[in-house]
Amino acid sequence: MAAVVQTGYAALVESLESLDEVIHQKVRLGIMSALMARGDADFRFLKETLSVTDGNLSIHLSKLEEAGYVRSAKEFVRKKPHTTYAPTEAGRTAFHAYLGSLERIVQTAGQS
Amino acid sequence: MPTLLAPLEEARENLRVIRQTMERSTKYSTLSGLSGILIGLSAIVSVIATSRILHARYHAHQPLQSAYPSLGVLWLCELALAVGIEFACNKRRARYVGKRVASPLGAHIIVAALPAFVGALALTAFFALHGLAALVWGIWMLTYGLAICAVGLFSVRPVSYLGSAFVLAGAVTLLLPTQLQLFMMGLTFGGFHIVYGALMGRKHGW
Repeated sequence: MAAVVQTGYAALVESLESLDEVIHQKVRLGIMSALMARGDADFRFLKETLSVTDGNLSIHLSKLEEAGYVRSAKEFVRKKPHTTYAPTEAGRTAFHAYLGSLERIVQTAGQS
Repeated sequence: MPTLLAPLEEARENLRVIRQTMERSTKYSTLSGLSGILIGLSAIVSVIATSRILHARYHAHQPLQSAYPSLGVLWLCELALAVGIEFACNKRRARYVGKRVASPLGAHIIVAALPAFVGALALTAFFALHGLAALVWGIWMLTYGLAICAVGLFSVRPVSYLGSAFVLAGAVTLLLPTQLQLFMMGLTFGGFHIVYGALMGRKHGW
C-alpha cells in the first residue's frame, strides 16, 4: 500500500514539474484558452473576456509572445491600430501538454 | 508526505478556468441590450397601430378580415425593422467587443432559429386561409419563443430566459379570450424585449 502511494506521489511530482511555467498563470492560461477556442482574437476581445486591465493584459501577452506561444498581427482599421493575436504551433503544443499535465495531476491525486 | 490536496485543487481550478474561458470565447455575445429595447418599442408602436386599425374597422362596421392585408403589411414591416435593428446593433456591438457578426457561430444560430420562423410563416398562412388570422398572436409568441430558445443554446443565459418566457406566454395567450390576445402581443414583444434589453445592457453591454 505504501509503495503504491509512493509511486503515485512520484508521478504527481513529475506532473507538477512538467507544468509549463509560461502558461501556468491565470491570465496567461485565460489568454491561451481563449485563443485556442477561437483561433484568433483582438486585444479588446481578450480584455472583455478575461476582465483584465490594458496594462495587465499587455504584460501577459508580451510574455506569451516572448515564449513563442502567441503571434500578433498589426493592421489599421479606420485609421486606428488593431492588433490580432493567434496561437503559434508551439503555443498549441504547449497548451495541449499543459492540459495533459493537469489531467494527470487530477487522476494521480484523485487516486491517492 | 505533503498533502496532495493543494495541487489537486489547483489543477481542478485551472481546468475550470480553461473550460469557462473557452465557453465564454465561443458564445455568441454580440447581442446588445439596445436592440432589445428598440425592438420592444417598435413592437409596442405596431401593437398600437394594429389596435387602431381593428377599432377603425369595427366602428366602420366593416368585417375584421378586411384589415388583414394592412395588418400583414404592418407586421412584415415590423419584422423587417426588427431584423434591421438587430443586425445594426449586433454589428455595432461586435465592433466594440472585437468579434464578427458574420461568423460560423452566427451561421449556426440562423440555421437553428430558421425552422421556428418557417413554422410561424406556415401557420400564419394556414390561419389566414381559414379566416382565423385574428387568432395567430399566440402562435407567433410560441414560435418566436422557440426560435429564441434555439439561439439561447449558443448564447448567454438571458436569451434562453427570453425564449422560455415567450413560449410560456404564447401557450397562455392561446387559451385567453381574443380581446386580450393583442394586449399580450404588446406585453411580450414590447415588454419582454424591453426588460430583456435592459438586463442584457446592464450585464453584457449595450
